Amino acid sequence: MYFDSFEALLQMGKHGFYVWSAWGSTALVLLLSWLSARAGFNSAARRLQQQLLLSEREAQQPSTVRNESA
Amino acid sequence: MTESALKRLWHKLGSPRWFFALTTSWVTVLGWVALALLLWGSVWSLAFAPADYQQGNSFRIMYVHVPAAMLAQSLYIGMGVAGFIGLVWRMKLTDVAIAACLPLGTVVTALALFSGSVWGRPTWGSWWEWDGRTVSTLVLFFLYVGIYALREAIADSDLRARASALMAMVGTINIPIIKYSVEWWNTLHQPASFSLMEKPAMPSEMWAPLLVMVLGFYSFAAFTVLLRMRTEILHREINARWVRDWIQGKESH
Repeated sequence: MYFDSFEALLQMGKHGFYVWSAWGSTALVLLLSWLSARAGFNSAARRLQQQLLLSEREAQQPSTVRNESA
Repeated sequence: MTESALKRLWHKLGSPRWFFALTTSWVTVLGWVALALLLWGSVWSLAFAPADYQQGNSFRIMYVHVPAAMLAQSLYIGMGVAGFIGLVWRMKLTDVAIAACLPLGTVVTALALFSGSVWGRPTWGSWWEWDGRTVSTLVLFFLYVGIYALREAIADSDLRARASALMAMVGTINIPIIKYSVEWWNTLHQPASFSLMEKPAMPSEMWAPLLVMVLGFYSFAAFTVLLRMRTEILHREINARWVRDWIQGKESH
């Protein structure tokens, strides 16, 4: 390691605040980008699954569904 | 390859169904590759690379600032190319690609500006300089936000696709401005850290971790853009037979 101790790594000379805020914001941005992309995909897949289930039910009992709504 | 085979490939490339099937395994692989590279690059850049003899440890900001700025420009070029193909060949997938590049492009541009500002304070003595490269990157950020606003404002999907394709294309004029800004105007920005043709100005202990970080950022971008493209395809093709088959296949597993 370049630094003598873990404290020295955190302090980064006099530049700890700058280095860690730049790196921290980067980690946050990448993490949130990943989570939001994943959540988007999962919710799209879930929506599709529900839609499919609904249309399967309708196909099984077409007459009763129509009668109830009428 | 014969001309007709080329034509077939071109048509395949534009088919959402084919694209979706092709990228299924890619997304997983790219995700893991990105994670490995980013972890490896981070430990190397933060704890093992030597400090700069002039800037001290603040130079470690370079390892996130440079990849973010490179990615910000690359994603925009990607949108411009997609816009061009979309306008000329009317390929459906290109609008999907533009929509998928936008979120990451916007946030990494903001990240490039922010990390640059945080680096500027200990290095140049100020949080913000009206420097050629900084200003043209700010313009890039506004271009991303502009396309976002455009897409929100237009309800008709065809018109939305054409308008954002055109704006993405026209906006690419800004990319060479960012690149050459350090040569055209007096600047505090240091010249490019990497070049395809020349040997890096830094010693290898300094640029090798940067290379790992850049590759990590690009794999991450490929990963999220593909994931978002696949999401967008599911939304658009919700009534297609193959999407229903895919969901059923997923349920049975």
